Amino acid sequence: MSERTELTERTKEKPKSLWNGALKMVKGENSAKLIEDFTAEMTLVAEGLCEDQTKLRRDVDRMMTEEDQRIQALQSQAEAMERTLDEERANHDRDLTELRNRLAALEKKAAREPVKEKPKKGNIIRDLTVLIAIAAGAWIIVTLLNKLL
Amino acid sequence: MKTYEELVQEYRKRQHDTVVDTIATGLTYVDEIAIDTGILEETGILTELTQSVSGILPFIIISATEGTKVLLGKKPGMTGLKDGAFRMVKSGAAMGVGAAVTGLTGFWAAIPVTMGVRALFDRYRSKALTGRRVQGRIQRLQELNRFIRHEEPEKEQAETMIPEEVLEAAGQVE
Repeated sequence: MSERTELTERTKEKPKSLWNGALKMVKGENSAKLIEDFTAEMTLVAEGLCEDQTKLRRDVDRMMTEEDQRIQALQSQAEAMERTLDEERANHDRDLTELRNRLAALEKKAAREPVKEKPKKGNIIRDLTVLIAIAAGAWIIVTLLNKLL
Repeated sequence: MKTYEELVQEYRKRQHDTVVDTIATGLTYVDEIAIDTGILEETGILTELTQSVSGILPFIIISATEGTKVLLGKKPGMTGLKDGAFRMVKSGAAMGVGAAVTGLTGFWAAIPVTMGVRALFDRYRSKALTGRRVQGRIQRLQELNRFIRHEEPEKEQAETMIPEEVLEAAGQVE
């Protein structure tokens, strides 16, 4: 749709530009008007560009300031994290040292007091008692059964 | 990259001075309109205040717009002053024409005449003053150049500092 409109506009402009060209050929260019137009346009463009440049410079300055602030915030965060990490590491080291000391103390204590072995005699007697009790029980049951039957 | 024509069109669209001044000159009749329509009475403090304000309203608007542009760094101070003065002169002349028309026919006819005259001052320019205008534009560009250089003196200094290698090369050429 827009292409068609552009084509129509171009078709309309073409005879106009041809006519203007033909007029220029006949009349010649008015140098005063040309100078007037050119200097006016140049001044307009130069001032516009200067304005844009000023605006861009301000934007860049603002962005740089923001970036600096962000960098500073990140740096402070990193420093805080580093500090926390150091504290955590120190705590961890302290705990580890404490555990090692306690382990060493326990080892020393264990070395000083040898483990007492329990006598095996008691075990054998107990086992024998159980076996005898089983045998006696079986004999009693058998005897009772023989007498009853 | 924009072409020269595109830049010219873009910056031309940004210029609203003519529209602002035309409307401002039209607003000088606001007191008379208010009295004529019955919003304000013919006598009274408010009427007198409106009359005194509406008379200088275009000049206040021009001063405010040009001053803002200078303060925001959009144009150099001297250029702003000159532009403001030219705009005031044109608005004043249009108001003078409007006053003459008011005296002849009444202010309802003077409103479009004043606004039209103010708009035409920017649209059509005297051929006899082309040289002066070109001279003025050259001065504007020179002021703009100074303005830009003044804004970044450090950068300029850095640019103007010639490295030793270049000086040596220049000596060799001689």
